[in-house]
Amino acid sequence: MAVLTTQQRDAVARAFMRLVVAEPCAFLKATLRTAVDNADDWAESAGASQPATSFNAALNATFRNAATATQKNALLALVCWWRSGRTLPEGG
Amino acid sequence: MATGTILLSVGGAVLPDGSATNLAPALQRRKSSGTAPAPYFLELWFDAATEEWAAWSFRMPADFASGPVLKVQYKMASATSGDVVWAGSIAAVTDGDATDVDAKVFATANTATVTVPGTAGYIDEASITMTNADSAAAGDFVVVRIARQGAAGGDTATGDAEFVGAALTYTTT
Repeated sequence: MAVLTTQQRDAVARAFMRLVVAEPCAFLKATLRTAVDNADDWAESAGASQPATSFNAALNATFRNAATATQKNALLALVCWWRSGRTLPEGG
Repeated sequence: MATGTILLSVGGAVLPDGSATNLAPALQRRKSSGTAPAPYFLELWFDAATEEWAAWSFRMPADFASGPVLKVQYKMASATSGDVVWAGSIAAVTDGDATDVDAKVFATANTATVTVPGTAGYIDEASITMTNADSAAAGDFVVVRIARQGAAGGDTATGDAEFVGAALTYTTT
């Protein structure tokens, strides 16, 4: 399948900010948005063949170093949710 | 001269209708997680991706002279780094003005960019100097608009900004 559109990636970032609350997020919106790109690109490659890097290594260094493991999991979950053709009301 | 204060509480806010460019923050009742009986209070949750706003209307006090400054108190839902852009606008109508209040618009917005606290849940205060105050004067019918410009390039913090209250301060006569 193809990667998400820019609008879908924007929606994933919005959904992340709406859903991942009550825990510190030590990264900026632009960093998160780039991490959505990273996660979607990684999921695309992992869907086609064994990926060359781990999911963690695929994330931009700023996000990788600032986000918690659960936040990275949430990011991947949301990206995969959108890639499955579904959305969330909060993400638009 | 002294400093006057008009309190702008969450409970007194008028929320827009949700149409385009009229997006409203979510009104929430917050229950402190502290030992009961812990404080309950109202919050307005301003989104990180769009511009949401709320308004307050009042009669400008008789001792208003000049220098209105908006003091916006907020905390962040999750962000511990980055900036938030707050905007304040005023619409003022004086007795006898040839102005249809039903068609009134806000003066140009005034903004302040503030760095969020390093710990989520900590209070920060943004101070917005209301240079564009629509020539507000004592006795005017005034509407104050407060917005988070979540889509602005300078607004870099993730997640909601949780507004807990504001005040319009001014120099008295």
